[in-house]
Amino acid sequence: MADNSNNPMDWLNGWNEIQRQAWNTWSTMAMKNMDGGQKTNPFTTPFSNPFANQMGMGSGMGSGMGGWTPPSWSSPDWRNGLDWWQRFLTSARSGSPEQTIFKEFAHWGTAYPEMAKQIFKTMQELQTGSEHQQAEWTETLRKNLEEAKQALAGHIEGLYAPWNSAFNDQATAVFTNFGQSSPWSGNQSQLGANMKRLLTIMAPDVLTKWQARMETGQRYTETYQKTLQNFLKVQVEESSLSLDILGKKLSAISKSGTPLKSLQEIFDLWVQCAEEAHAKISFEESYKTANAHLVNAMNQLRIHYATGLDEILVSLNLPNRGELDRNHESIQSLKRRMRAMEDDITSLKRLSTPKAEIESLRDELEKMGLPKIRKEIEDLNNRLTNLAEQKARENDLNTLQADIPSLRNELTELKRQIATMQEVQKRLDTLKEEITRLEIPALRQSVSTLAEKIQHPNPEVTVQIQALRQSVSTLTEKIQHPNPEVTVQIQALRKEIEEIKSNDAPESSETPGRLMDDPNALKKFRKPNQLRSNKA
Amino acid sequence: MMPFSITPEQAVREVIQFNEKLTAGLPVLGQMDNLTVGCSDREEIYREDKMVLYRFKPLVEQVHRVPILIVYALVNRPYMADLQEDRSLIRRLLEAGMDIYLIDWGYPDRADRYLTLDDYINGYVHRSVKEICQRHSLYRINVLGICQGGSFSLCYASMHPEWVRNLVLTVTPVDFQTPDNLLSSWAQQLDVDLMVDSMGNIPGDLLNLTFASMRSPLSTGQKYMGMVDIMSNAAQLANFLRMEKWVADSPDQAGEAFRQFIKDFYQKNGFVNGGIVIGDKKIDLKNITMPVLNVYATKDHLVPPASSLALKSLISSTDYSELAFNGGHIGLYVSGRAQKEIPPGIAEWIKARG
Repeated sequence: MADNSNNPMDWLNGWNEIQRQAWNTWSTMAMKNMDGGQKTNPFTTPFSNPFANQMGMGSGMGSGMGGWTPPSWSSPDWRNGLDWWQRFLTSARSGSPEQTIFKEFAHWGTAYPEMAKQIFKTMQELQTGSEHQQAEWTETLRKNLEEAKQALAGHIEGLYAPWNSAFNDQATAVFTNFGQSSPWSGNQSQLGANMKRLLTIMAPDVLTKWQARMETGQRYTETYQKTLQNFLKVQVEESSLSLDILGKKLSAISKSGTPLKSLQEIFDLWVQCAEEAHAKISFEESYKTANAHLVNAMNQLRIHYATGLDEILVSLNLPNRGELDRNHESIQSLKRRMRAMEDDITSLKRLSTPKAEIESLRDELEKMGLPKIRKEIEDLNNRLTNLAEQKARENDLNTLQADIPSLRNELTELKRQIATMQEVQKRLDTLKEEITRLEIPALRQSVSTLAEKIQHPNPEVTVQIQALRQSVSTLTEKIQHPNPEVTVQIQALRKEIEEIKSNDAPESSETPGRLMDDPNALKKFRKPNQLRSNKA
Repeated sequence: MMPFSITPEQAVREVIQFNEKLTAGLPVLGQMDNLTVGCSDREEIYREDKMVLYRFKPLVEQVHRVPILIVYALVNRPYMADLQEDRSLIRRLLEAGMDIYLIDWGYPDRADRYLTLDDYINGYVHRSVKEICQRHSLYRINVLGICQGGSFSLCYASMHPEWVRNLVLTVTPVDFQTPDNLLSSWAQQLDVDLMVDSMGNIPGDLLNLTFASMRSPLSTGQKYMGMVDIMSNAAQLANFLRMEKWVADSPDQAGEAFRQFIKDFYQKNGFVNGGIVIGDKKIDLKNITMPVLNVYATKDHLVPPASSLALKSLISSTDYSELAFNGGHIGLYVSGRAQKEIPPGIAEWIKARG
């Protein structure tokens, strides 16, 4: 391998060298693996060697190529290698999973070297350019990204091949049936012009219908082509946007000071940019419209030609799609009726015997959840009964509670009456006892005696009474007209009492009024200390 | 400063390493025949036309009393839920004690072009539910819908609520017109009548291509370039190829069912705006009163989370739960983390509801 590290300007040669090295290494390892695995040398297969032309050799290069190096390596490409492997696998195991997977891998694997090649080209330009150019690498990057955009526009059909081929396959089948070439192969404008010219030729009545149909078909074809172009245009916009994003991200990486250090990192960044662009574009109205219009136009074209084909088949007395569809629709309708009848029969069978009927009803009850509901109803009834009983008790209690005050009053009244009666009884008993104790006859005798004495008083007693009356009169006279000396004495005594009261208030609960009436008490006040000691 | 720092030697080394991996991996790739998918034992229970109802062999002695019927989408094949032993929603549910049934729609052909959503939902699904009920002496079972199968399950539960005990939905589109729904935005201008009338059944490859074109073509390339790194490891390569097989295994869509699905669900957004009629029954999600578990993926680019989460406000169920998975549409079934989060979550939720 050339020492490119010493010659950093030679990136393109480095690229070629890398691929040559890679192919050599791969082929050597493959030989070893296959020797120990399938015992088949991939380089001895009858398929043509992808590099045969480059090497000036024909197909079927023969065996014994260990460590093979292409004699001349003008412009090798990884894609060739991947294609070759794919064909090898196809020949080995047709329809096997590895073939399918490798087919996908080979398809997508081509994008990887394409990207690397573009990067190497950028490197080459940067490193062979002037110092100014190297400093202004962003301008070089921009230029190369623009070139990449152009390249993508040219290869966009390849990039989106799976999607586009799905439509092409559908539509091509129609055209093939009509013995025509695909409407998107060859010079479309020329095809359209020729068709239009053909259709302007006057046709007999019997052919007028077909002529109109072909005109419509031509119109649908043109619509389809237009929508396909619009869709591809949107796809190019998306790819272009992804490259813009890539440019921005590379600028950011450049400023961050942490450059990408492997092809894998660059590839991942590229995918990330494509994903961001797709996420944006695919939600835009232009993409949705282009996509829907393409699908609708393709279906319109298909249905147009399918209808025509159906008519041709009818004219040839052959079965066609319309007949099959109608039959399938009838069959489906009959199936539905059959299922409905089966369900009815199943229901009727269940009802054919009492036991079955009972089982059926039981099933229905089970489905309706009646046992559970019945249990719940029973529980509810029990609860309601309990509640009713509780309510009745509550009502009784309330009534009783309402009666309690009046009963209490009655009771109090009764108690009072009883007490009164008991008191009366007691008094009665006392009276009885008193009456019992009284000597009525003796009393009567006393009363009679007294009455006799009153009616017939003793003269001596009468004299005494008069004397007493005289004494009382005398005393009364004395009280009303007292002796002045006595009065003076009394006043002196009163004065003395007042003095005592003011000097030493009495500690006794006895009032001065009573003291006045009690001379002994007056003496007590004259000796208060003695009184206290007596009390203690 | 230059954005690249690569010498030719470095590039050569990288390319050689790439080729070494490729060369070492090719013999391993060559031995990858008889690639099996679907790891759990199952038996056929009921068959009608191309539809087959399977029951998976329980993995525990005491299985949960009420079985689960898995309703898969018409797109791709249901073995994605049982891809391989360590990546299987079904196996994890069986291990959790669930009794699992699965509807396999088969591969519709031109004779099935006139199958309608009524045939699928009121026909195949309803008869499968009846069959399971009869086998287990039950009057209702659990239903688990996957993606479009979830939308079918919603329709079924709306029309036959008395047959559904619990409803589990996984990555199920409900609001088909959320702003981040790329498929829906593409479908709005599509003349689906023209499409079905011209194609009859819709080719599975066309659908695959549509799904693939939701991402940049280069992403697909990156996937295959990345495959080289694992090619020499037979187990890893087998995992990769199983997923590839599933992705590529896309049955055609019965024309009439496809027509109604695109029109009523994508273009008219019928779950939200109303107007869906299946057979002679109007779909009203307010009829859904049973417990509902809504499982969605936060990074789902096919069914955006907002599309699934719209369900909550549209149903009458008072027992509504959500389970979020931090991953994508497919990762919810096959990723290692999903195995630990999703099946146990579903099983616990169902067990708690009898």
